[in-house]
Amino acid sequence: MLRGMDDIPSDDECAWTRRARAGDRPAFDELVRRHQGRLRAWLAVRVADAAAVDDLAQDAFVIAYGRLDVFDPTCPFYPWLRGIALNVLRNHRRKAAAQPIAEDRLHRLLDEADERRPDDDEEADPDALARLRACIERLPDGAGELVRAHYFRGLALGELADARGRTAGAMAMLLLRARRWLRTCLERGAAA
Amino acid sequence: MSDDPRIERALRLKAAVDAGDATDDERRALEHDAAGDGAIADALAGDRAVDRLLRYAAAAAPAASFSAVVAARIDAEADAPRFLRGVRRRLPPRRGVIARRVAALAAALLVVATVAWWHARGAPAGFAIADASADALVDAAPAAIGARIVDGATIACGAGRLVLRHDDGTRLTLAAARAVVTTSSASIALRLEEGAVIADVPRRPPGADLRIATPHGEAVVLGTRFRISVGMTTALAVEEGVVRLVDAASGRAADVGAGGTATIGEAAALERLRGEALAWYDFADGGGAIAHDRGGRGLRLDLALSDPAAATWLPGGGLRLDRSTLLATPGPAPTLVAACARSDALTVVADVTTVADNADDPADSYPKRIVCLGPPTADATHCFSLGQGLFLGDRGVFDLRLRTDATSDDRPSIATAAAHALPARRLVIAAVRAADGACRLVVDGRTVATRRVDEPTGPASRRLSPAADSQRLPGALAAWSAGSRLAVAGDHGRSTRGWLGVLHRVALFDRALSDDELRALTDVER
Repeated sequence: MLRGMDDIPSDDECAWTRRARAGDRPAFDELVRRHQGRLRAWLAVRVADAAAVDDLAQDAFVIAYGRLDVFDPTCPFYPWLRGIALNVLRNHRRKAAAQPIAEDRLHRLLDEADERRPDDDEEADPDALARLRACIERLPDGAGELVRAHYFRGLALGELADARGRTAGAMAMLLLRARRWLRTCLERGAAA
Repeated sequence: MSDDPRIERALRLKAAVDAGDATDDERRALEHDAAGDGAIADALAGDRAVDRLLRYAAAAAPAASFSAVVAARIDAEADAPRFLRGVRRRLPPRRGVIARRVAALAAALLVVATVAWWHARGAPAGFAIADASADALVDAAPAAIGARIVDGATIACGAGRLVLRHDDGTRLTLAAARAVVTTSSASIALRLEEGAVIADVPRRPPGADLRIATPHGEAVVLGTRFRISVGMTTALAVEEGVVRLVDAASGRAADVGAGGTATIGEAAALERLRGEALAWYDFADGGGAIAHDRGGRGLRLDLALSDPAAATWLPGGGLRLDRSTLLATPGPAPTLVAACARSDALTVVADVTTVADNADDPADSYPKRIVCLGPPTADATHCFSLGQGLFLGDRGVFDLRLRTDATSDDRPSIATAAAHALPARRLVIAAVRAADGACRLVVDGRTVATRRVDEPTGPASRRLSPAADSQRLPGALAAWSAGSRLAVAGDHGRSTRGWLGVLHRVALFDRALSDDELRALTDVER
């Protein structure tokens, strides 16, 4: 029977990892709950196919569960989990390489640049995320809606184009302008 | 965008690459420019950085079902090898390899001995509980690990999960499920009422199928790994092997192979929703001047067409409105009004094909009414109206106006933030109002961003709220007039508000439909 978890302090991650390593499933479920957002976000910036993000994150957690016996519970859990996710991501890229869209050399070069910096998680800076949200709120009407629809509600360029009677290229250009505006907004915020 | 024509050109090429429109020459040109020009490289890197930050922010919010799916997948991954892995996990980390092998061998021998003993005593094949969450019940009693499942047992997992292991190696992980298990010496059958099952099934001998029945049909398994889930419909995803899926309604069967998915039960879902609709028009009348109400509540709110010459009944269903006209109930609809007043909730669904230019008069007389309820006079305030376009505003948005006891008329309203109605296309628009006042608009099964429209002293004073998935229109629906009549594609007293396009289906409910139900209404026949 799955056990209760009330006897572990919520801020004691070492206790969760020790219990998970000892085979305590609710403790591992708690680790999933704690780290899923950050891991999914980390993958989301490295995978072009948004639909694959959850699958890859699940793969990483399932593999981590199976390898808990080699995890050193005195070390933080998330970097170890992210290392597993990086391997999952590499395998995914190898499989995706057979698809024409991933053969684009520019994307591949950018992906390879990511792999050279596997420890980067710079987007996790809560200040950067707060500044981003503030800048999105200040985007001109149409651009703000476009950014929210594409990034936060997952509408593809083609869907956005259909809804607005425009081409996917026009939508990509509008998004590019919006990102350029956001970049300026973020830089000004950082300077201030 | 940029004063530098080189950067402007590079960004245009980047947009073409993002959209998948770039030619090989354009891709090569962009690569060349990015490699040889620092300013262009910087512009592309900056764009990439903001793109990454946006994707990070969007994915960082916890996903509600993620943890449950990971838990179910871990259960499903664990089979015989899990037992050995479990032994290994209990060993100290750096104990010798020999000790692990001895422990694994002992464990394997224990399994073999247990199975041999079981068969020797002639016990019938069946399921035992391999794992269970605290809220899982078998025949209304808490599930006990190791307990055998008797024939016909009823399983209720609550929000948790239950793992069953069959003596033949079959492993079923039930998540948030209600099910009945039937086993015999030759076959296994599971009746899944709701929830999901992840099945891992060894190859089975001829005639010893594993069958999983759902309210919509049946999956027949020969030896494979798959997921099957039941909501408004039954969805199947096969990871390995082949599963035969049988649609109970039509009797049709299809084999779904590895990597394939299939859904059955759309017709049943539609029928279930029709059964509880206050009004349901499928415009399948084929001719005449009446659109019959086929809602299951029996209100018989048939709509009379004021100008039959302005409309064309389409073969196979649908009514095309070429000129402004009105479909309306000849008399009041007090039962509909009372039902909504009781629940304080409402869903209006319109499956329509819009037209490029819905204005058949020179005046800016928007919104055009797709569905509205109100007294039959020109100056009366609607109880609600689902319309297209805003007066002196965007003609491609959808707009929900709703009168409550907190307002003096049917404003403020909410409108979609994007022009979903244009260009012309078929779509399913749903306006949903929950009892707590939360209102949203759903287009093709997806909640779209809306703005609240406030006009304190008329359209010139219009204020739009920031876009959000839901807007509040508070108050109770008790203020609705019992003399109100239902109208489609027009307004009782205003001939300029006639909506043009094709009506495929219009339905009204006195509750807020769920996302699953709205998707079912969108997917059916689409």
